[in-house]
Amino acid sequence: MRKITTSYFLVIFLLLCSCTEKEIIIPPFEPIISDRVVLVEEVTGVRCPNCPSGSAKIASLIEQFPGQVVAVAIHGSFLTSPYAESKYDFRHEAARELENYLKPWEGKPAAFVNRKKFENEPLRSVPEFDLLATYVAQELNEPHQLEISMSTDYDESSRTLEVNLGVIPLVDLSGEYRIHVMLTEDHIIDRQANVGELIEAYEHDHVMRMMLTAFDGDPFESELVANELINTSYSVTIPAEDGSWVADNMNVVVFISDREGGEKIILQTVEEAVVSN
Amino acid sequence: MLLRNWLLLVLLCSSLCLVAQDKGAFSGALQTSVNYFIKDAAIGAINIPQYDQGLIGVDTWLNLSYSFKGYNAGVRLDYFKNSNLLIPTAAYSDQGLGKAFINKRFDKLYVELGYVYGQIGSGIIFRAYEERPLLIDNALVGVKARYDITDNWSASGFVGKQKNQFSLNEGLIKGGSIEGFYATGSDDAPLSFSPGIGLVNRTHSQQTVDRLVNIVKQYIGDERIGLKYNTYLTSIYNSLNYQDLTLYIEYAYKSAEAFRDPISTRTELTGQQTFGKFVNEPGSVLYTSLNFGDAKLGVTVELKRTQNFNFKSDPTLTGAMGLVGFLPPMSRENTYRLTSRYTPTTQDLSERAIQTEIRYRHNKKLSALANFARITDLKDELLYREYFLQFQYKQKRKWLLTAGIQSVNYNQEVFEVKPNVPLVKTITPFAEFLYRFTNKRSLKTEIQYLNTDEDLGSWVYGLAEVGLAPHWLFELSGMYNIDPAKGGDKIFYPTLGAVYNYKTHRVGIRYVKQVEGIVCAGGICRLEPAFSGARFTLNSTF
Repeated sequence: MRKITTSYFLVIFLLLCSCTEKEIIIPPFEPIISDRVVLVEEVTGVRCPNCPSGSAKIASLIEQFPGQVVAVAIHGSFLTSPYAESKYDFRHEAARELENYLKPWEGKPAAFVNRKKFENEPLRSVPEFDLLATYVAQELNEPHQLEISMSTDYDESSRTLEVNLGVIPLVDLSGEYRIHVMLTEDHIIDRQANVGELIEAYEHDHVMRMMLTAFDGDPFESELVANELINTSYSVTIPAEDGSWVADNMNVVVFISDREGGEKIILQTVEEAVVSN
Repeated sequence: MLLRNWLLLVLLCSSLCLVAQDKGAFSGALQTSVNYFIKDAAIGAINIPQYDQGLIGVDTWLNLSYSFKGYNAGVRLDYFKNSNLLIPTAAYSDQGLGKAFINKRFDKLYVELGYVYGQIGSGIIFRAYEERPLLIDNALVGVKARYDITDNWSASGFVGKQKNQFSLNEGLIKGGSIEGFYATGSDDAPLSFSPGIGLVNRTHSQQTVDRLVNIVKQYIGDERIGLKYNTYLTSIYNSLNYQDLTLYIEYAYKSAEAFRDPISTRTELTGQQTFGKFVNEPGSVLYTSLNFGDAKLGVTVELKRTQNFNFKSDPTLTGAMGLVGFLPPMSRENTYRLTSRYTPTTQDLSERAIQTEIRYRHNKKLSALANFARITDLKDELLYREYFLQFQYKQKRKWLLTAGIQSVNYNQEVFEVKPNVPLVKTITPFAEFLYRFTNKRSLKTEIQYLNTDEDLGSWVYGLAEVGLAPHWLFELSGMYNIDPAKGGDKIFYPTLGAVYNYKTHRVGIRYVKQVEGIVCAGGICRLEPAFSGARFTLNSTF
């Protein structure tokens, strides 16, 4: 018995000695110089109590990487049915299809950074939003391969929007490219579940309102030659205002993805206001 | 890859069978289930790929083991296709080696290599186990050994990385325990002690530390926390037996480590406060149970206090993934459909719980059982309360009547993270009647009624099960929300099934409509969406 007790306390002593381990030094954040713009998509819902925290973290991300992050909030199916007291219904077919297309994800909120699966993440979706900055930084450090320029022309009387795009590959590229065009809206005030409460006047930002292309994008070129400009355009009539669909609060988000090898990786994103200043 | 696995299996099986003809003993077990998903928007069985794309889900486990001259070895092959077990809202497909082991006892020393299972004490600081209904299999891939110091004292140790389906979680886990047995007292009043002490250490990998650093880097000012590579856990436990009385007590302590607290708030760069933050705190669990039992009366009292005891092989893993320890659940494991509808999930950060059960056997025919459970957080907010009373009357071997009533208060806001919902209060009377027409033919009927004004409202459930021993079992049951809350629809959830048993093989097929709810297995619970479809199951041992 004495031997056993002695052995135990010897082991405890040795372990405690190793408890004097020094704390790990946390380095400060350093901005990254890059021409890339990273798309962060969040699957969210008005009945998702953890989603306001997720959205706030994405807002921080935009502040942390000014001009380098574009956010989109997808209200597809799960936890998205409006409350009886809600003013708006953010659901639509393209959002539902896109939410399914982005599966699997473990739950809401979940975010996707350029639709890329990162090392050590079991899925493409990132459930830990505090890691988004790391993955955005990783993406910004990747080589910049493609530039997109965009101009918008909005006619207030007819509510018609013209989107003119120019795509310039910076290197020769070969893949299964698709182009995606979305309309998003900020500053929509409506009900939202939060942890332990319901927020009546929550400000919904980056809400994906419609897609001008198919939910998984329209086919684009498969061979892109460096510095050869490719022009394309889209037009749409924005629905009448009902408290939402406010053109001044809307943005056009355009990105190009590569689906080669079953991937969905996004190469570059651009965002412009519907109503130019 | 799949072909390669199956070829490996066939080769292994053939070689084992050949050797088995010599002297050793070969055994195996096959468990498979096939889910055919049928979309039903009315009950919410939509919006997961299995429904939307008309997929069929398959889960299969094949165990093969062989014993020869004191050596035991085995493998398990797992196959998942469009499975909803890992993530109930997604389709998971993968296959490969789920387990492989070899063990041998050398006199006083027992050694096992491969995928090893086991626990220290009641499992609070370490438990490697498998729970297939939730696809939990957190075996350590490494080595474990136990040495019998004396007839009554043994020391054991283990080291390895935790399994995560077909990969390994980061973080090296090592630990050990010393356990013993000491008897004293007289023949009339025997007294014995079974003490034990356990130690566990987890060392983060550089990758995990990098992830934690990247997370903590986002925290501003004082909200930043310190990080270390190592965390230590210890537990001390003892089981005291005196005549009909057993007292078990265990205290576990975890040194400070970074873990995710979903209700801690932090400040974003924009100034907004958000929920969910890594904190660096020590943790502890105190668990005790007192059992008294004789021929007539049995009493069990359990107490537990838990603080900051979320311990994972990698703290950035979500849900039940990566759990190293196991916290004993503190509510009754109910088996009836409606009495188990609201089951509490064990709270690993803040929980104070008591559970008492009294069993009384009046005579050979009549017995009674009463259970009380109360669970709060450490700020005394009520999470769960249950009163359960059950009587059983047995008329020889002819019939058996079980009847009782259950009352539950369930904090849906905490357990299911649903905002602004009231405490669910239920009253559920239930009855079961089993009648044996002959030794081979029996009929079991159940009727349950759950009354509540909250959540989805009140339910009624009925079941009829015909047994034609030794082969057949037929089941017809239905659950109906007789008084839906919040203006919901009255929906009938039927189940129709048949099971065929032949020797050590069991085949079942069921048509199921199942409401969304908490599904628990071995004390771990999760919210699962509604299910609509057909299920085929096969269990076979050989």
